[in-house]
Order: sequence, then C-alpha cells, then structure tokens
Amino acid sequence: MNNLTEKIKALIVDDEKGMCLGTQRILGDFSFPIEELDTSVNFDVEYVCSGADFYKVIENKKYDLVVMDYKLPDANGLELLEYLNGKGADTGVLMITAYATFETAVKATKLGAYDFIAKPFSPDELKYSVMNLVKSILLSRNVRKFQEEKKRIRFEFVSVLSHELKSPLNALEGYIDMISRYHGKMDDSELKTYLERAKTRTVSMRKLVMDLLDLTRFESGARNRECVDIAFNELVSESLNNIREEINSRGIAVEAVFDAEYNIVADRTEIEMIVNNLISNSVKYNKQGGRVMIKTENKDGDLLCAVSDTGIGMTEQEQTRLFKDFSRIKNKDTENILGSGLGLSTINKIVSLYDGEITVNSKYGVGSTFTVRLKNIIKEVPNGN
Amino acid sequence: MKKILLVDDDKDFLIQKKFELEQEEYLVETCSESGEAIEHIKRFTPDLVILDLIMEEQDSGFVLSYLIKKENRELPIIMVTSVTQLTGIDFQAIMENEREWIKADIILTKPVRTDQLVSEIKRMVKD
Ligand SMILES: Nc1ncnc2c1ncn2[C@@H]1O[C@H](COP(=O)(O)OP(=O)(O)OP(=O)(O)O)[C@@H](O)[C@H]1O
Ligand SMILES: [Mg+2]
Repeated sequence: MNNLTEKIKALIVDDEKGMCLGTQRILGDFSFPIEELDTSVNFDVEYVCSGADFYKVIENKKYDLVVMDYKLPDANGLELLEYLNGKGADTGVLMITAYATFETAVKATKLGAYDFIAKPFSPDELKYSVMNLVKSILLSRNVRKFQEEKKRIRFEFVSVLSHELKSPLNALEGYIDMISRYHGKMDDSELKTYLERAKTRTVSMRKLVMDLLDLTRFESGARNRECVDIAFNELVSESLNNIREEINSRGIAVEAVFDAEYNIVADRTEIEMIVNNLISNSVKYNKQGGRVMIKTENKDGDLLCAVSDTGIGMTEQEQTRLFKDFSRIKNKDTENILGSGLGLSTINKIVSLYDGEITVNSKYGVGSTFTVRLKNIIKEVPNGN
Repeated sequence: MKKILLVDDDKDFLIQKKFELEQEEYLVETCSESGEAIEHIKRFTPDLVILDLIMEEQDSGFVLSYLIKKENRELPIIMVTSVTQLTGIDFQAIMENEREWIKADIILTKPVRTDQLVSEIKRMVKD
C-alpha cells in the first residue's frame, strides 16, 4: 500500500461569515480514506461571501468541491451552478438550503448539484455529505483516466498493427505492378523468384493474423484458464518433437537437461506457448549446425527454465526492445526468417500471470539465453521413494 | 549510366526497385543495413540515394540522410516511407520541428509507383 493523499480544493460560498469560518474549520480538520483508490483525502478550504466574489475566484482557480448557500443576497445557487456548468468545470457541488422545496431540488440536481444539506446542520452531517460527494468525484475521475489510458494503448496498438499489415501489402502490390508492367522482360526463373517472394509475404501475413488472434484471445480473457497438473519434462519433449524437422534440417543439436521430474500446476496452453516460442526462437535464430540447450531447475518452488542457443545473438541495444508487440530485429542475419514479432511479448504477458519474469542474456554473433521464472508452480512431491 | 543506391530493410522493396530501375537503364546497388550505407556510398559513388525512413530504429532514415548530406552535400536523396498520420508517428509534426534537420530532397509515400519514382529521379539527376 503506498497510500497517496489527495488534497481537495474546496470553496465555501455563504453570505454569513460565521458559517464560512465554521465550515472551513470543520473541513480543514477533516480527512478520510478511499480504499478503492488507495488514497486518503484532506482539504484545502477557501471561502467567499457573495455571488460577485464567487465569479471572481472561479475565474482563476479550479475547485474540486463547492459548498454553497442556495440563497445569497446578490445571486441564487442555481445561477452559480449554471455558470459553473457552463465553464465545464469538473466540480462537485453541495448545496446548503434552509428550505429545499422539491422543485429547487430537482432543478439543482439537473444542473449537477450532488447533494443537499439543510440549515442548520451538524458537523457530522456536513462531513458525511462531503465525504460521499468527494468519493464519487474521485472515483469517476479515476474511471475516466483509466478509459483514456485504455484508448491510448489501443490506438498505439492499432497504429503499429496497421504498419505491420501495410508492409506485406505494399510488397505484394509491388510484385503485382512489377510483373504486370515488365513481365515481357523477365525470364522464367526471375518470374518464379518474384512469385515465391510474394508467396512468402502472404504466408507471413497470414501468420501475423493468426498470432494476433491468439494474442487477443489471450489478452481479452475469453479463454478459460485452467490449472492442471503438467509433466513439464514431457511438455518440453513434445515441443521439441513438433519442430524436429526444422531442427534436423538445420543440423542443430539439442540437449535438454532435467535434474528431476518436474511436475507443475499451471494452465497447459500458456506453458506450451512459453516453451514453444522460446524453443522456436532458439532454432530459428540459430546458425547451421548450432546447439540448443534447455535447462530446468527448481528454485525454492519456482520453476526456472533457461533456453540457450549458439545462434546469431543480439547487441545490447537490440535487447532493449525485444518484449514489445511486433518488435523484430532487422539485419542481414534475420532478413530471411519469418516472424510476427509477437512471440516474446506474448511470453512476457503470460509470465506476468504467474508473477514471474523473463530475462535475456545475449551476445551478438555468439548466442542467447532466455530464462523464464514462474513463481511457485512446482508441485510438492511427497518425500521418499 | 547513372548510379542509384537503394537503402531499405525491406528486402522486397529492394528487389522490386532494383529490377524496375534497371529496366529504366540505371545501374543499381542495394544495401539492407543503414549502418553500412555510408561505406557503400564511398565505394559505389552513386548519383542518387533512395532510403527508407524507418529501418532498425524509427528515425534511422533521418540519421542516415543527415550523415550522407554532411559528407556529400550535393548527393540527391529521396526518402520513402510508409509513415502516415495513422501509423502513430505524426509525420507532419516531425517535419515542423525538424525541417531543418531532414536533409532528404523529397519524401515519397510507399507504395511508390515506378513512373513517379523515375520522373523524380530524372528531375534530380540530369544526364
Ligand atoms: N534466440 C534468439 N536469438 C537471437 N535473436 C532472437 C532470439 N529470440 C528472439 N530474437 C529476436 O527477437 C525478435 C523478437 O522475437 P519474437 O519471438 O518476439 O518474434 P519473432 O520470432 O520475430 O516472431 P514470432 O515469434 O511472433 O513468430 C526476433 O525477431 C529476433 O530478432
Ligand atoms: Mg518468436
């Protein structure tokens, strides 16, 4: 709990100076927590004694809370409220009125007054109303902030995505234009090369769309997570078998080291995604005839799995942006390798569900090690044989 | 024959523009890493460079065109980009703030039509 404090800027509007001072003192000493926001609230209180003064101060300062007397000598509460609304201020209003007729109450509520309190009121009545009002203001501000942040993240995601989809489209369109314009000047083998490239871009675009669907399904929570017993060693072997062909064709030697049988409790699909992605990377970004080493360890009940390779590696600068959506490293070594740049960012999201982490250790041209740590998922094995 | 260097990390853009510009009687070489472009220019001494804005980093193209112009003030540069308002980088804003800094002679949006490209090249590189 980091317990922030929120200072509420309050303004009292009342023609009786005694009322102003009394209210100022009550609120000045008042403070209360809002658990939902992990924050506590206190007040910074000013007052004015006339409608004219109200208009003046409101010009220069934003208040979170206005406690106003409905009946002022030079104005009435509804006018002030209307003015406040006109300025689009995000202010909560507590109206004090000696004779809240039903009609004024309805009118004032429509104009955005939150609550009424009748004169004379006790300090506790005042505090209670103010507390409810402030809670509702802060909570709705928080919701708004959250939604804006969500919108921003979404916009960023869609922006990057549209860029990712546009590049294969550009490439395809380019080949179509080129072939229709110059096909008379191409020999068969050239034409074939270009068609193959176009095909490759189509395949990678399809992969991107599929990976994206996986990721969204995963992030939206539409999947039911189900924690089951998993024999981790077996899961790794299966994952290796799935890409055995690629491993063999590139002459890569794989070594998996388990110092024990690892039984874990986790969601199978999630663990498969982690292992598959790491293994696939260690093969994809390896060199012909390279090595892959998978090492698993029990660290105080946490599962530590490290996948190392003797592949192309990465510079330190390249390592900093690995875990972002769509992030791929582009250079001569990677230009012929298909990928959507979603594998590691997906792993990163899964790992955080297990309160764990993924780290990378890599050297350009030498190789990389990715280590995942999953908190507390190793199943206790009863001692003895 | 006029010489053109293409710099882009999109292999297909390189393949396509190389073929097309060769059909238009240019001598074309390609370079897929912006870090190697400067060396390549020294070796190849092109009459014009076409480069992409976003390569390894979001601003690789800017940096590169700056570096090129520093050493070869007269070498014409065409920058190509698929950056638009929608890709999240406000290109207009970049241009406002850093107009001074962008040394490219013109900027074209991908996909770049070959006839447009060729007519720009002809305008900048006189035989
Ligand atoms: N073992 C590795 N060795 C060297 N580079 C790696 C390794 N793993 C990942 N990378 C680099 O990190 C980038 C991001 O990896 P990530 O798995 O997120 O995406 P991808 O493999 O390109 O595509 P995807 O996994 O979505 O098919 C890769 O493009 C690659 O450049
Ligand atoms: Mg991957």
